[in-house]
Amino acid sequence: MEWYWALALMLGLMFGLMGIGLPVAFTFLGVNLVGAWVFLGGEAGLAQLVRNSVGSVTSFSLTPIPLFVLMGEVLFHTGLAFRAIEAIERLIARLPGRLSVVSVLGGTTFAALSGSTIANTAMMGGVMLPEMLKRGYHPTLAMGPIMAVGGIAMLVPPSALAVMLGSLAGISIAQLLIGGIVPGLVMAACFLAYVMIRCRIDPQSAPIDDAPREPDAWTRWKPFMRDVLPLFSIFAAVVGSMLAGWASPTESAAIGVVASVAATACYRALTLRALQKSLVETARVSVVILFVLVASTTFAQILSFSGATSGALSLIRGLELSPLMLVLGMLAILLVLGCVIDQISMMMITLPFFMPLANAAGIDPVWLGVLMLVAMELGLLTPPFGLLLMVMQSVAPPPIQLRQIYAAATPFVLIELAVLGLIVALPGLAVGLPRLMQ
Amino acid sequence: MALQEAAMETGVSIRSRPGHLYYLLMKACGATAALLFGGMALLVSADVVLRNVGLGSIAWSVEATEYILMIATFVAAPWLLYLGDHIRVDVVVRALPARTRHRLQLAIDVVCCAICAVLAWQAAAVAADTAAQGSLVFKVLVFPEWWLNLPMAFSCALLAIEFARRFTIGLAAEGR
Amino acid sequence: TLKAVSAFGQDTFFNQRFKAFVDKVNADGKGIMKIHVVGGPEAIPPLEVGNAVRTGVVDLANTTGVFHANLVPEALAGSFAEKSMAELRANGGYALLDRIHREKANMVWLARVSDGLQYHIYTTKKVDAGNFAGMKLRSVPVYRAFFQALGATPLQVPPGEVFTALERGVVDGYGWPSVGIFDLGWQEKTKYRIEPGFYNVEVGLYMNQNTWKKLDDAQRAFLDKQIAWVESENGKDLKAAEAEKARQAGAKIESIAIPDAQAQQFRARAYETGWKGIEQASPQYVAKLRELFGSGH
Ligand code: NA
Ligand code: NA
Repeated sequence: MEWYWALALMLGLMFGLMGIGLPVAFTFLGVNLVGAWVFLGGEAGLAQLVRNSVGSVTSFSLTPIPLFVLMGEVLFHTGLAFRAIEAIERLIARLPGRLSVVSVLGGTTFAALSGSTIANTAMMGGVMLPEMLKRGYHPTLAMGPIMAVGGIAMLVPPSALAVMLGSLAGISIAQLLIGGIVPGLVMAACFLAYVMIRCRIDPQSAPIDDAPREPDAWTRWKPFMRDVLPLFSIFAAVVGSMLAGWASPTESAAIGVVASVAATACYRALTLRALQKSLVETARVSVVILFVLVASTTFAQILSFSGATSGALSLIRGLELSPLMLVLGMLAILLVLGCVIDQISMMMITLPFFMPLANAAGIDPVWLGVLMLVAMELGLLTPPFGLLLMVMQSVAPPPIQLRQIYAAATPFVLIELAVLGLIVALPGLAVGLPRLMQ
Repeated sequence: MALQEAAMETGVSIRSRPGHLYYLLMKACGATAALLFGGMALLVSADVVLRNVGLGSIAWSVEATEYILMIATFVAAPWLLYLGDHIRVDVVVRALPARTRHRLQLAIDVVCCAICAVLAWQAAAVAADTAAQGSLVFKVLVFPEWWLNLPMAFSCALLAIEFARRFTIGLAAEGR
Repeated sequence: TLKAVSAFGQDTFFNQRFKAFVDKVNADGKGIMKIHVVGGPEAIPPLEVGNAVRTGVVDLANTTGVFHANLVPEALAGSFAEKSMAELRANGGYALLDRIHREKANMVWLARVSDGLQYHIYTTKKVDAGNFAGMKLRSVPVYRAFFQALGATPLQVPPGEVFTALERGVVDGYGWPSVGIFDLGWQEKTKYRIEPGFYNVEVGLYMNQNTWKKLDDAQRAFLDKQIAWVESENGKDLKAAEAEKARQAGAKIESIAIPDAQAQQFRARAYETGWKGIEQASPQYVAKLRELFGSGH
């Protein structure tokens, strides 16, 4: 079968099944069955599909997902996270869209402390979303910032994905991590600006609450000292255990869980019931994601095996583009792939083609790496397969419809696209800091 | 609570004996995954602590973690379906008239049931083939490789049953 | 047309010889044989390659016995070989291991495309006279037992995390072949390479037995010729190792030699633990294999 027929079969079937409303995981499983029968070869192909599916989730690299989720859930169900964010809120009074601003600031802070995009969004979604909806925030301003800052977690160190990209692509990991800092901050600033401008223009979308300004600095800062600062010890445990060389990034996630449980115990907020609820919710949130990963990882493998991916990519190679066009082409491919598959599979599929193309054209690998991270970050927010959209759906209360979640993400997708364009135009944003380091 | 609500939504009568047993089975799937994740956090932390106080390390902890992740994912998947938690893209579906939507839902249940049934059959076949092959997982933990295929076979079989159940409930609702 | 897959990434060291082999077969074999490479680890996960060959999902694979040791524990003998492939073909070692592959996993061991390259321990800390007690080393199942026998703590760390683990000191080192650390970027965090190396990094071409049986005489003769050619290329491996060591020196990776007396013990431990691993999984052929593959210490 020619590669374009293979591509058409796989993608057509996928969009078709997903479009009529088959759950995402079962869509991928169904397409995988057809793909395995056609490309891997009959029943032997089906058997291989089963093996690959089991293997895809038997992976230590995925361990941080439930652990970071559990960390957030423990803080959430014991009421600690809520107290902390309330304390941050107290510092920002009388600002239109206060809670959206708190989401951006809090989410960016967490992004700098955690390497898991999904956990970041799940936690912020669980903590901030109900409150914002209760206070009558427009869904876009309630959900958008939470999803958008979630993506920053994979750009700003610590980022498991950046490390993985660096090692798979042969790009200096240290430089790649450092290179993500400025673009991450630029993005956070843009999100903040958007939220504040939109709330000024349309005050109805984020009602100002009549929380009075605290009379003096001490009453304003006391809750912060009491409810937020000590929580940093949890993050200190996560980052510190890594910095001190006690634990690998994955292991530090487990330490984070233990630290959160210990912290809640210190606040006398730990109950058996809260712990039980946290564990059950962790299973719900993380298995939704992990089960999709089972199916989508295997989907990417079959797509690759069928020759569809390499065919599509070699078509690009044949065009003999200028370096700039090449970079734009790569980003376009990543953006399109990002609509349908997960970040790890994207890297697996494209890197064998991108890196030789980039090296031959003399493209700065660190610049390209940061651009790729931003493009992949966009994939987290683009339907039909956007991990953060799904996480949001799994934490959002029932009246929220998927359509509203997509709409909420749209302005932030546009902002991220603009930042992507900015980094293309000004490579210094990405490579400036790493060059200083040398 | 969520389970009881879901049970009502999907039409399982918890009062009837088979309904109650099924409800307990689903609940057990969820509880198993929850406990496995909790155990995973403890195991990994214990390994880090033991290693850093110089008491050696738990050699099998990473491997066990990988299996825990896999088992939890497969075991909890039917429970999530029971709760209606699996993610779907419903943009098109919501635009349809109620009757068409209901018919489409029945078709989806049939398709998904078939997908899961085929996967359950293949997972069982792979388990049987691997057992006949006699291959061993030979890392720190040594055990027959076919054990690793059981969670998926179990999961897909339960998923197929759940989709079939949803289909019959949907059909009955249409008859009314 | 033969459908082929590689367990190693497109541009990695252990894919180069396979690429050359495929190019030559396709150039010389017009009308006789054609190999179509469907992909690398992104198409079939490395640990599944052996099974894909067994069941005929692919006809041919560039992989290592280490990846299909679950199917054929004896395949690790290739990694513990202290004789060259030419010697193994002469003394019956090749024939025995090939037969075991056919019996246990419906696979034919066609060729060895990496011979003479060793594994090394790379560290971030100075190692005194081969004393690894208390060190934390990233390891994979082939040499896990060996690292433990050295008194080190073997840790399993996913490849994407090794760099950070080295940087933070979660691990003090790792085992890896004498080539290939530049493929992963780990040279930045590596300070020392321990000499001597151990084992014999095995990469080979494996074919589905049904496919092999279907080849006609002309095709088999052609294949044999290409195999002889590709195995003759193995002589270049030692030069590649030399070049890589020079490159490592350029990247400020210092070589530390274990003193002779301890070095002997070091290597003896490596092989003892390795063969014992096979024996535990499948004792039937191990004595014979060790006699044919080992050097008798
Ligand atoms: Na981060
Ligand atoms: Na997407």
